[in-house]
Order: sequence, then C-alpha cells, then structure tokens
Amino acid sequence: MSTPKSPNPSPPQPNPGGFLTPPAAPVTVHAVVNGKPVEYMAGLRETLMDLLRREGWAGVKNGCETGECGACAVLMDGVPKASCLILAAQAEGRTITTIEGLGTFEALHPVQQAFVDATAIQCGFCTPAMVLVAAALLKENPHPTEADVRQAFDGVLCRCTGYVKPVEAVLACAARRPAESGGTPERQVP
Amino acid sequence: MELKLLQSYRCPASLDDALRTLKQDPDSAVLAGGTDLLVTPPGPVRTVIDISRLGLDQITEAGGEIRIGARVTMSRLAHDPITLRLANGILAQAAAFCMSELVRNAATVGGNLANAAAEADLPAPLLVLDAEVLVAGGSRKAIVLDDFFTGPRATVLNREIITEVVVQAPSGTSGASFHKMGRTDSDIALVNAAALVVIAGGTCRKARVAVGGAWPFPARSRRAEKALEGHALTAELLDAAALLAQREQPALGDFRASAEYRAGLVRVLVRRALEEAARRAGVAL
Repeated sequence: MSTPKSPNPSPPQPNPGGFLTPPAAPVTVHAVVNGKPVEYMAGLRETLMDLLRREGWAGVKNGCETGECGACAVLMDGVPKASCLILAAQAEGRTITTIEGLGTFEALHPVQQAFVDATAIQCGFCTPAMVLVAAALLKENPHPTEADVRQAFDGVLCRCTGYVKPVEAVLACAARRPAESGGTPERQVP
Repeated sequence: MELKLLQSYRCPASLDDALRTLKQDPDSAVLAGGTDLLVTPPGPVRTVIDISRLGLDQITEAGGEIRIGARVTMSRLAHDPITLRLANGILAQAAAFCMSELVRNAATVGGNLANAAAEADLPAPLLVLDAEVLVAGGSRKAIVLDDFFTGPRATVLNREIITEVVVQAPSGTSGASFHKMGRTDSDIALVNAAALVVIAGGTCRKARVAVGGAWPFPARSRRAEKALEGHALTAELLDAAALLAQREQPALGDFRASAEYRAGLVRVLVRRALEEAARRAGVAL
C-alpha cells in the first residue's frame, strides 16, 4: 500500500472501495454467544456488531461504527469491547456476551435492577452498553469508587442522563453486595 | 466501519506465515486491535492478517530493560505493575487516558506505533525512554523509535511486523512526566508532551523532551534537550527550554485546532512536563 501523501497530520482517510465493491466469500464463525454454542454465517466484511444484530441480538446498538460511542459494547471473553471494531471472523472460538445474556425480564442482573431502581434509564439506547460495562467493572472491582465508575463509563456516550443516575445505580449496586473479607481484588487485565 | 475491499481474512499460527502473506500481498494489512485499521485504513485493504495467535503479549523486566510485546493492549499498559513503576508511570498514564476503556481493551502498543498518527499518545513517553522497536520480516532487527516515523501516518516499516518495544528504565536520580491536552482528558490529543531528566551532581546529566500532535509525527525536541543538559535546572531554564521546544518545528493546524493553538500548547505542556519531571527527580525549582 502506498503511504498517504497529505502534508496534514492524520486527515480523515476515505475508506477506499466506493459504492460498488467486489463480492467476498462468507465465513463460518463458531462461538459461544450468551452461553450457547453457535455457528453463524457471516459476511467477510461484517463486523461483529452487524453479525450479532443480524442474528437477533438487537441489544447491541449501532451508534457510530467507529468505536467512539460505545453503544455496540459486548463482552468478549469477559472483556468489554466495541463490537463495531471487530470483524465477525475474529469471534471464532470466542465467548460473547450481549445484554441479552446478562439478565432476563424474569431475572434481572443486579446491575439492571439497580438501573431500574435508580431511574437511570431515559431513552435507553446506551443502557445495554452501560449495564455490560458496569457488570464487567463490578466483577473485577466489587467496590469501585465514583471515579472508577465514571472511568468505566468513559467509552459509553449518553446524551440523556448526564451519567448522574447511572453512576448512582452502579454505586448502589456495589453497596448492596456483601463486603469483601479483605484485601484488594485481583484485577484481570485484557 | 467496513473494509470495503476485503477479500480475505487470515489468522496465521506463526510469525513466518504472517510475514509470508504480508510480503506476497501488497494490499494486506496486519490486524491487531483493529481500533485504527477498521476506522481509517491506510489504503486499500484486501487481506487482513490477524496476529492474535502470535502471542507477542508479554511485559517483562530484566536488569533494567523492559520488553513490551507488540500486542500488549493499552489497558494492560495502564495497569501492569512494571509499566506503573517505569519512569514515574508515564507510559501507563499515556495509555490510561487514550480514548476509552472499550478501545483500550483492544488497542495495542504495536498498532499505535505502526498506525503512526501524529497525535498518538504512546510515542512521546516511549521517545523520552529511548525506545527501540523490534521488527520481524526484514534484515534489520531493531529500529530506534527516534528514526521510526517519517511523516504523517508514515513509518520506515517495509512489510515488517513489530514484535516488541524495548525501553531501559532510567538509571540514577530521574524524574519523568507526561502531559496531554484534548477536548476531554481521554479525547484525541491536540498536543501531548513527555519529559525525562536525570540529575547528577546537582546538574541535569540527561534530558529528553518529546512532543506529539503538533508536528507531522511525534518527535524529540533536540534544542530543548541541549539547553538543559549540563546545567542546573531552574524555573528560568525550563521556561527557555519550553520556548525552544515550541520553536523546534512549526506547529500544524487542522479541524481540531489551529497551528497557533498547538504551538501555544507545545510550550505550555513541555513546561509542565519539565517542571513535574524535575520535581520528581528531587529538584527544588
């Protein structure tokens, strides 16, 4: 590939290919999605976000396609990631959790319940991502500070709540858990 | 974002296989974290070479030398005890405030260097640590980071794959600092700056100053460094060095900030970084 010739620092690069693009062979993806082994047929160019949504996991939202809004957040092997920046093919052999895998109407995940109790949901578009990210945070850090919670939310853009109630919800959820016996929790880094 | 020309996805089990594809296919690109490749691909990408099976994800320390695998994520850099200890944690800090947790969990140090965005956050701290980039696929084994970038999103890499980044922990009495200015503290840097000073016998024995975001690619300010080395550090000398850093290269303007604003930020951030580095080295200013 030729290197960019523009003298400007990092101008937005157009994605080459234009409107008519050549076809590409699909790929088969074997993964565990929300606890169940699946075999999905995916387009080679499809992102994990597109694949999951097409397979019915509509809790994964398309907000920007560039990894900046966080609405597409999923847990990949337990780690929160932007699924719009992952090719569907990369999910081979991985464990994926979407909001649908975290809790059900009959049995809400504690973070979901906390969001409901704190009225932390307005339009709800960012809520699946916020809940997933908060659940992942509480798993590795059961007693986060407010700063920890705000940092966890730094990748999920919310235009409605100002983050006030969502942060309260996560802290309330953490407070309701039984106290740890002592020592700092082991942080698992991806 | 869709790679519209993608025809082939490879996930090789060995570095040799990855390199073979990289060399044979001129429209192939390495896929590490995907946080740059899937947003602003550097050109037509018809083949992606997913390197997730190649390991390259360890951080080790031995005898003052720290080796960071190319696939180590920003998240890992932000939290690993080795990087938190290294040079007042400036590399960990730079990684910790990059974009968002979601991006940091995928983005890699190798990708940050290979993508070579002018505003990348990891080059400045790595430059002041005299980092070397280890590569595979060509005749050379190591490239000094100082010689690595050649232009906007351009590097000396020629169908090679970064395997590790190597830095030496500063010896003696030292202090380092990293500062960044963006619209928010985790947004893309308008300008970032790193500084490192080593003090011996009351004077600055070694100084390193690096700036990103303001120029076509992250680089050291040799003029600032020369003004500091061999002298006792005072507030006035730091002022002078910051001014020299500002004058090292003309700042660039774009849709995020004007050239004038970036030039101003260079001076301010270098000054802050030098002050914090000096204080951390025990210098009373």
